[in-house]
Amino acid sequence: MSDDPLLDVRDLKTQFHTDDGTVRAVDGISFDVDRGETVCIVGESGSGKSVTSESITRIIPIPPGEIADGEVIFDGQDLTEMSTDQLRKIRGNRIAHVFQNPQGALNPVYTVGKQIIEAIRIHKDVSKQEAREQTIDLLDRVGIPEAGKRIDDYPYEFSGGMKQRVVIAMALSCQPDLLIADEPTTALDVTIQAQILRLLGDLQDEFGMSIIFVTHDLGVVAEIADRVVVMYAGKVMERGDVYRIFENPAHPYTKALLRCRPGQGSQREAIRGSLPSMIDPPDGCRFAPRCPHAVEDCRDGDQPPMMEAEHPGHEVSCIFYQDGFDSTQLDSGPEGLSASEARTDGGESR
Amino acid sequence: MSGMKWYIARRTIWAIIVLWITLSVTWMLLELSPNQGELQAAQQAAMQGQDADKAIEDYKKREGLDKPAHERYLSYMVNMYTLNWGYSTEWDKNVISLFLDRWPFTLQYILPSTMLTMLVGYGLGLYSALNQYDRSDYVATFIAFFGLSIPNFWFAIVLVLITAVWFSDLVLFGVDMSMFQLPVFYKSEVINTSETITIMGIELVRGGWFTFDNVKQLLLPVIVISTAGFAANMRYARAYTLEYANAEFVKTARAKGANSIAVTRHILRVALVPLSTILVFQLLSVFATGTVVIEFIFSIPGLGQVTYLSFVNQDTPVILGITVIGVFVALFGFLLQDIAYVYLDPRIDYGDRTGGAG
Amino acid sequence: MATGTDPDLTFEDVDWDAEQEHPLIDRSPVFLAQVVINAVIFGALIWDYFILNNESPTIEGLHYPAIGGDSLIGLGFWELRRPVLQFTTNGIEMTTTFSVWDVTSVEWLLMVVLAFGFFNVVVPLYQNQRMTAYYWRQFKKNKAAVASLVFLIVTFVIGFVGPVFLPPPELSLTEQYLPPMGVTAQPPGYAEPISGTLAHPLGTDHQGQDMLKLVIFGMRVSMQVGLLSMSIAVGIGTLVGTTAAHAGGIVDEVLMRYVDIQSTFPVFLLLLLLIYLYGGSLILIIALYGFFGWEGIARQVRSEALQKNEEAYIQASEAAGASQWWIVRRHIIPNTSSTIITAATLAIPAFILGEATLSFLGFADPEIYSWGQVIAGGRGDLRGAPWISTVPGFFLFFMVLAFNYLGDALRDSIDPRQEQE
Ligand SMILES: Nc1ncnc2c1ncn2[C@@H]1O[C@H](COP(=O)(O)OP(=O)(O)OP(=O)(O)O)[C@@H](O)[C@H]1O
Ligand code: SF4
Ligand SMILES: [Mg+2]
Repeated sequence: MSDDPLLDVRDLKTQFHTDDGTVRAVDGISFDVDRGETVCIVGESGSGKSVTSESITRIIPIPPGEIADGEVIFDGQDLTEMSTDQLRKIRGNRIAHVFQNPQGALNPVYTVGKQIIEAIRIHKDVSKQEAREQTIDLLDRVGIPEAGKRIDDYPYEFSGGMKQRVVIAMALSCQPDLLIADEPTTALDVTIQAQILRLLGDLQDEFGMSIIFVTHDLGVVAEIADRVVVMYAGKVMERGDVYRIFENPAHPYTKALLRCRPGQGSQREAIRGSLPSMIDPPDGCRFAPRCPHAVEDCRDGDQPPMMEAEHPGHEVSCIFYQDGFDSTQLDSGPEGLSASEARTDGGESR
Repeated sequence: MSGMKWYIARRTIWAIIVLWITLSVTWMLLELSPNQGELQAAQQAAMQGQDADKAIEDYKKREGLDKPAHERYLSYMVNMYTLNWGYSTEWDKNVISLFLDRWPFTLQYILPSTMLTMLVGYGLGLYSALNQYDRSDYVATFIAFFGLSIPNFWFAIVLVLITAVWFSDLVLFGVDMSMFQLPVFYKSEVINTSETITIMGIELVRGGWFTFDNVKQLLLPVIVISTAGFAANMRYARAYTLEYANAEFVKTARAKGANSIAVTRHILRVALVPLSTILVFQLLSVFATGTVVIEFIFSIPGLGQVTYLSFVNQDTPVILGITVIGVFVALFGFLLQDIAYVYLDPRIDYGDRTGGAG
Repeated sequence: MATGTDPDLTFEDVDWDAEQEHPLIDRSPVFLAQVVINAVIFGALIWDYFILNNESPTIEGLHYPAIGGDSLIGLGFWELRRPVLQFTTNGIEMTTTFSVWDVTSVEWLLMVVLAFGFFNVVVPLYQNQRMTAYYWRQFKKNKAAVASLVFLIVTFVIGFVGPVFLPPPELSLTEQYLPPMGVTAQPPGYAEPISGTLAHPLGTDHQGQDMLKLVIFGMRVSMQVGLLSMSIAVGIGTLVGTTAAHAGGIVDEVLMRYVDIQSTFPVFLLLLLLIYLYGGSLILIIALYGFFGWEGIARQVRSEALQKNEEAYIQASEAAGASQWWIVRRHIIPNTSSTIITAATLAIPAFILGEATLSFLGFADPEIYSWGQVIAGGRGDLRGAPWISTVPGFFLFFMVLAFNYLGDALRDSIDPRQEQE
């Protein structure tokens, strides 16, 4: 294995051109994914997590979408430079996706078998019969009982959790190097959620693939992540090792996110306000309008650059980590977030 | 698939019930209205100086109208269901054999129109939805609105004006347009003639359905009737394609690495489910009016012309027959639609049809 | 996601009962005005039918003597005449110059419909200016639809005001086949090509009737058919759809089965059948299209109402003991209004085309100035006088096109869910 990361996203910008203006859904983000590791992207609804993960293999709708800038280096090749035909050879083959809603992810009018066989035969030159056998193996592997019989069933004949297993089977059909799972468990109930997470873990051990896992459930992050990328309004706020981030969150947004996690007792509260406009984002730090620590300098210029927090590999985009600021000030309990100000309407971190 | 058989059987029984209800309503309408034959008989008697009342009575006796209502209803129903549809005074012919003579003339342009309507309509709708932000979408949408809004009788007249009248002495870019002149009126001789011509030693019969002359004279009718139908289909195809174009399963298909043809197939196959529930309704509403108008304008001796003339000449048995055929065709169409729907949508619960119309 | 606009406030979210003091009796001034206007219309209707001789015009005796006598013949369309009103009261004949109007049954109906539309569409829009502004912002993005709206308003005004002031088209043996202004042609019966003049801007037909007048009088007929049939169809469709959705069970089953049956019966044949039985008067055609053209609307309203049925405020209302009828009228109908308004706009062009087709085929009342009939009349003279068939068709085409564009834009602006562009 080489030392290069498997995936290196650099300054990626994705925009949507709409009637109301250009939505800067992802506005210059960078992160990388090493071989065999799991990177979680967290952030509240609308912060651009899905757009990021769908920009990697360019499956966002174009138009209205556009990858305006940046590089996506996958195994040494820049995906943004590739033609759609070249990309198609990578989609589903080396980079596979699992989406949030298993109800909608399968075409309702084709049998599940047909859809997985299609996925196999797009990339592998095998006969229908061989593909069918592989499909049965896959279904069996993801825990569908009587896979040989169920292969000819239609999606509506499966429960939500089972459907998600089918989708995972489809994603694994070509043994991808990277699996991008966009909130794969959000639509499922808790017990099923745990099963699916365990399944993904097992499969990762078995196939040795990397996983990008998008979620806003911090409990899940703690369970599966090696590293974490915290997004807010199209920007990366903080990234680093999962233990460091949970034990020692550096960014005010991350701190607030962790505080409003369930099970945090009286500390639990929502972050006031809501995401800024992605069409006309505010100057300076995107989080400034909601940040209890915001000072004058936060509202100027661009998003603060990523600065190293205490440890190497743990980086944060907050002015308090720049020279001349004292990041320990962030630890003093800010008045703005006192428990008396509790929950207001703006708390969007479901 | 016994569920499906049972479902189709139920739909068939329902169709028979609807046929019975509409026949009854038609009978009641005729019962409640002044009888044309009766009035004629009375007038005739009065003109010849005879007793009008007696003439009416004679007429009633002749037509069986003196019997009690339930008997008349029963014999009407029996006649209708046994295809004993009476005699047309206007055409001097049995109503059934009149229809048998005429239906091919209608079918010969309805069939190609149906094909065109579906192919062009779905094709353009799909294309326009998949290129939603393109100029071609706006052009296609405009064409659809044009087709949807242009009165078909007026469109026919304008086309006749251009291709038959103006082309006769128009030279466009040095091309004598009279070459492309199209006939205004349909000539059924084209089909019935047995004149032969010899081309390169091969003897060909000139008359018949599949001849150049016949195709040429059907060109305008097919264009006119397809325009309206295709426009509606295009709008629906576009709307449903758009509905599914950004669906999650389409994203899945693209994430698999499927090419655009395969992705389009995924979309189209799902969109066909709701489209199948309105296709028949669309076709029927275009064709019911369209055939009468088209055959009136182009003098095509098909069922539309029979419809028109039977109303103008007040030929009651033919009117009744045409009504039954209309209802029957509609019911048959809806039955086909139900069956198509069952095949297209694996999710169907065989309980209820979700609407025959949009 | 949209910024600046107020996406939350739509027709559906207006609290239709908010300013209601008493839940059962509506005493708002608007409602009173509505009652008064309807009373006036009905009063006038009764006056027309029972007090006045049915044969005579409502406002009686319209004559259009040409100003200055016969000498002005030749001015064609512009031959404005001073309307003169003649009364006969107690045997004494009185003459006065006054605009005059014989109100037909169709027009009575239309007044009711316009009053209803005014109170149920215009007044709410005026009262909720924020909502109106929101809709307008959405709507005006679609330039074609704005143009259509302007075109339709102009057509509507000309169609209704024109025939009040203009004398009806007259037959004239000396002015047959005159080409439109600026067109030179050799119509049948003419030895030399002639040019159209300003006297008849759109020319004349084979009977010498002024085409512009035929067009204006035809506008009125088309508008009447479109609006009235639509009102009947929307009324029945809404009632059936909401009742079926709200009552559910056997009522729903029976109503929707009936809708199934009615949509099986080919409407066009049914129309021909009924016209054959009862004659093709304008009011019959309007009624037939209205009474047999509502199935689609009923289906749409039902499925929309079914979704709304589940919503909290209706269940709250039910829990509070509101009557079924109250819930349907006060909650379900207002809350499916976007579906209803869109369906209404798209129903109009279908009915207009239907009537034009019937009169083109000669099944309608020959006394009525319908465009279809004029188009049919010019069919034989396509070579010599193509304007007779083509000119009214353009107006018909553009009117239907405008309604279609408008309906489509309304669907987009009122109901962004359906289709986004
Ligand atoms: N097709 C599109 N057209 C216009 N704007 C879009 C489109 N797709 C996404 N956006 C915008 O991009 C922004 C980011 O959306 P994204 O779906 O990535 O959020 P997310 O972080 O995945 O949220 P969630 O947790 O709800 O999935 C949002 O403001 C959204 O409105
Ligand atoms: S830069 Fe300023 S506004 Fe942004 S997170 Fe840091 S303190 Fe808050
Ligand atoms: Mg998302």
